[in-house]
Amino acid sequence: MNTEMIGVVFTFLLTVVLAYPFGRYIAKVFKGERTFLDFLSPVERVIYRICGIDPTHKMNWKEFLKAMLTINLLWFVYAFFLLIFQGKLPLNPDGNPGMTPDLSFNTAISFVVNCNMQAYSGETGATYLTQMFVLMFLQFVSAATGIACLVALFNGLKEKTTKNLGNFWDIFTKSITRVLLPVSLVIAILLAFHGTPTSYAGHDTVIGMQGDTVQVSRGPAAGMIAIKHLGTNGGGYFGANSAHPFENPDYFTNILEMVAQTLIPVAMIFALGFYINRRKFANVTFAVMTIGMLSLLIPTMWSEIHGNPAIARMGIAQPTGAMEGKEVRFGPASSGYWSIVTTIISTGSVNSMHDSSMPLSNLMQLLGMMVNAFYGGCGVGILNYYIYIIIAVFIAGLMVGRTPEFMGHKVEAREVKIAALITLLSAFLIKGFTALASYYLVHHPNIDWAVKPTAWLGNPGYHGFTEMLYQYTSENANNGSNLAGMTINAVFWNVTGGIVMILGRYLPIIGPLAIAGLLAEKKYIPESAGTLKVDSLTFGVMTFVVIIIITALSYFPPLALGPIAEYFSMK
Amino acid sequence: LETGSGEAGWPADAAWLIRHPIWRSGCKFHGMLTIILFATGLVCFALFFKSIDYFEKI
Repeated sequence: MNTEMIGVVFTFLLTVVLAYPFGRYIAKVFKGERTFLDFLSPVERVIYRICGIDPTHKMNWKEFLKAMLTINLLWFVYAFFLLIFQGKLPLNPDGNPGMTPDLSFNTAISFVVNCNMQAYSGETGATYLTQMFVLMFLQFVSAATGIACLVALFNGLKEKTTKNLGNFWDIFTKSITRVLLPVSLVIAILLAFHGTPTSYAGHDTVIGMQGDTVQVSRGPAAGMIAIKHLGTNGGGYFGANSAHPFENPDYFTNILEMVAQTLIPVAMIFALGFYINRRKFANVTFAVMTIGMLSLLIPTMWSEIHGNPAIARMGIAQPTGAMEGKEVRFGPASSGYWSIVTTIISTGSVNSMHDSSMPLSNLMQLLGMMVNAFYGGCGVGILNYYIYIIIAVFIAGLMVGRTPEFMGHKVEAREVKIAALITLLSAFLIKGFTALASYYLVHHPNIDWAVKPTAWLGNPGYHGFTEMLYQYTSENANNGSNLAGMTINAVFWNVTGGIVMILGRYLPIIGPLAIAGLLAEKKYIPESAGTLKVDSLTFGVMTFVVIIIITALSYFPPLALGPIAEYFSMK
Repeated sequence: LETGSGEAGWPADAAWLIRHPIWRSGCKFHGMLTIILFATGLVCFALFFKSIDYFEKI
């Protein structure tokens, strides 16, 4: 167990050590300073010329958001129809069929919005064509969308007064060519050398030790698994995700994938400091997020390492902890760490089945997704944190009786209204749709649908409720993990899930960028003795408390009905 | 299409909706479901474009 703990600590420290210089590099790229990848400039110029882009054109926040939404709409249309017709298209050696409209709707939105909730299994539900040119393509561009929107926020914070948040197309393109593609290439090569398939051949036929004939799926997996983590996407090539021995062959790849998924979210915090020349503010942000992460991680690892009390009462020793649903290769500590990392930063990939996690772990995983700002997803994590900052600034202003200010700009009613709306939206989507699903389950359990509500859940009672709550929480947070006991490939779940994912993605991007744009246009007020110091420890604590209060007020009732009730029922 | 199941406690339209054959179409291509879901996606994006102006004037 000690070795496992050392592995977890080493993985986290390695992430921070790599993220700091990477953050400095990212800041240089978007500031337009010289970097070692400047030789890619001609490639970018060709892209601009083909697409008719003027990268020097300055965009205000409205233009920036409209550009972002337009290209995302195009990707939705592209993915929706290609997934429906994939069975009739080339690069389909295994003869996999096209997706049903509801599954295509869910999958297209899921990958466009960086969620990667998968109601299909990669082995039989997608073809090589759609895996590469739809799903993997969207993993790059959805991550780049998040980074581009965060850099727009940086631009709003950097200048004293400005209408220019940068050029979406320029930032978006450089996010791919200078950040995502080069690092993904390195990760993919390392994965391929450790046994992850990179082949266009169809499935292989293998005879097992018991003499059974087994069809083993292969495919061009290494590239997709690299960007799946680097872009905090999480959508696996194989159905079992990173619990599959091809997708995560050994402990080295386990560390590699854990570092990869945390790298950009942590690096972007440091990039913020370098970009706007407020390193202390970035350090305080990193500290708040790390304390938040540890406060979720420690209970999770404790509960997983100590095993299942129901099994202990039967007199069965659990020297290796709670091992149901976990890979022996990785163990409970590493799986617990992965489960928290993947839920706080919206990757949603898994190396163990979260449905088998202890109730306390499920509670922490849910909280990670409900907060959605402890590091958070690729770019969007800091956008979510920015909303909490605006609310913290507003409350701090009320407490001292001054007009709230953030970095020299007055925070007025309009900004606070937007922040409040975005905060309430998540609670509305998660609780509203969980209530709707619960209603059908209780009042129409045998309704004549393809998948009757009685067949939805993998477990009865509190855990069954947790499965539904987790599903919508994950979709709203654009996380993509789920409690795998559930049957989610049903019209009801595909349609409602798609709606939750799309609303949970774009409004929480539009809101913070609108606030950033509106604040940046205001007159700059020089700092004085009475200015709230947002890079102080006091303000960090204030923000942390605001996050706890908002989350507790919004989500305590459903959490009490699910994982908390289950935890006490096992005592 | 049948409307109004007469189920107690439910408005006729809602009962019609939840019993609609569209929910049983999970196993095969269904043109009507495709159009409805595609339109749903477009409506969502229209809402996002509209929200930009809304946030400016809120």
